[in-house]
Amino acid sequence: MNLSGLSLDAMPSFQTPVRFFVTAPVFAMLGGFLLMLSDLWVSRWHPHLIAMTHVFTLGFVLMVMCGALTQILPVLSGKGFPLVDSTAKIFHGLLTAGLLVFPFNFLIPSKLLVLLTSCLIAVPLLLMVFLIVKVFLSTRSNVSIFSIKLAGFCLIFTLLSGLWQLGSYHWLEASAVGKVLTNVHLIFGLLGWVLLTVMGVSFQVIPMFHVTPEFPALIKRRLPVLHFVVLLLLAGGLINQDAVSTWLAFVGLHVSLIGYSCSALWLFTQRRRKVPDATVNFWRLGLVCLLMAVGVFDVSLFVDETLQEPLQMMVALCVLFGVIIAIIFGMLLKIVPFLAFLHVQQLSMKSMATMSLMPSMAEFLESGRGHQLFYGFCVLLPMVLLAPFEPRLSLLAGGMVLIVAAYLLLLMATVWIRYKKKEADLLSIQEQSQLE
Amino acid sequence: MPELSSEINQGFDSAGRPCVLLDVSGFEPPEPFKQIVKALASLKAGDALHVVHRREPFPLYQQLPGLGYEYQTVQHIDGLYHIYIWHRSHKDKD
Repeated sequence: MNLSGLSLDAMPSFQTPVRFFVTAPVFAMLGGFLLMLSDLWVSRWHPHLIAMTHVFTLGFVLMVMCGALTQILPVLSGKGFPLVDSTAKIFHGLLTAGLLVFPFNFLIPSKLLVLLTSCLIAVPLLLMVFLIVKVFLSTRSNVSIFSIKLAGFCLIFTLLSGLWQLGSYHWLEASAVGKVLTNVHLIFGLLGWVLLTVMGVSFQVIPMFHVTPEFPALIKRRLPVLHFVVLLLLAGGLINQDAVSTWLAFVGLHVSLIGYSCSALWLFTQRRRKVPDATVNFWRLGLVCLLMAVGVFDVSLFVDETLQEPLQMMVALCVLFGVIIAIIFGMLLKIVPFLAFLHVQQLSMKSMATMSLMPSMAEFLESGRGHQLFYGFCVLLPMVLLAPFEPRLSLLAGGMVLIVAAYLLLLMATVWIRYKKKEADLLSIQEQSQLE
Repeated sequence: MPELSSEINQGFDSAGRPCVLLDVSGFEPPEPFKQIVKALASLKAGDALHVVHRREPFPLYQQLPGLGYEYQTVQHIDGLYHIYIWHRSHKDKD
């Protein structure tokens, strides 16, 4: 990635992205609470299940991505955005309010609620899409940005198809086309928007943060395109009920998902310094779960119908929890202390008196805390994956999600508090040295 | 864009200043930055720092002029970046 256009002066304040990163675990806790309801698994169309899924995908995943974008966009643009901190605060407020109201659409059907939610979520997201397009048009493209652009197309489609379904749920009769569209919405959301973003980000962060070789050029340049084309083919096949396109797309998906997972897993075996790292563990878990999801999906095609639905729910849970949420947990452990370091480092470099007081990342978050989070996650994951088969596990699984998400919240808040303390210490030393 | 070269100066930079070698190519961020700043702080007058890095440290480049340092970057054909950093006052003396 060419980073020569980056400007650290354009960085928003530490609070701006971290506000999103601290809010996201609160939504994961809310999702854990909904998961405790054991009637979720009656059918994949159950409103409680749909509400729970959206609390995780929008409340947790989208919230983290928006936080990351508030950090990346001003830096990529090289000159920042005027009032980025205050704009992001309003954006965060609207999004949080919208996402808090959103699950109630599935629990208490109301047309007024649909309109309210759509406005609260759509306004900040449209603003974000506008800023993304503005920045990406003026930034030289590379493999990461290209992959994220493809993910952006998938996000727009996911949002539009989701809004359409939410509207038709209240204003139109449910139809077979509606169910096909739900599948397409799910595919574009999880496999398109989120996985393409994960791929794009990983091309940059795995070699950089974990000191591995670069991804093979074939994977970096061709795989996101193949994945995107395959998703279009799959959507077309499902909508037109064309078995040939659907099967071709399944073969293509195997190539892209297995190809990506194996190459990333291989990179982690090539680390220059094989020090224990919770983020690496989360990445490995996520990549293995991606392979597992592919395998379980294949099995689900050859079993009788009674087993098919719980197995396919397991695949969706494996992608959501095992892959996406696991990888985001890992990245938050790395990126939030890194951002804290970056801001404190910039401040400490402003004066000779504080130049030698640069902190280490471990001063913001000890590595042992990350490992504890990972072990907690490893306990909750099998419970979540088996819940569709044994609904009584839901209570336990939901409780574990609540505890682990609360621990993540504690870790993020700890970094924030330590950052504030460090910043205050440095400012006071700099003031004293000026007086002397 | 840094100059691409198959030969790297060892021990002295292109202006003949004695160099202290610092290889940070095996470290993850932000360790290289910290090590470079620490090495610069203990650099003897007239010496330069020769940093071997996997990537071009753009955030460091942005900080160096403010601290009075100048730098020159050469990319070896093996892909590693060799960055020579010296204090501006030392160049003026030359």
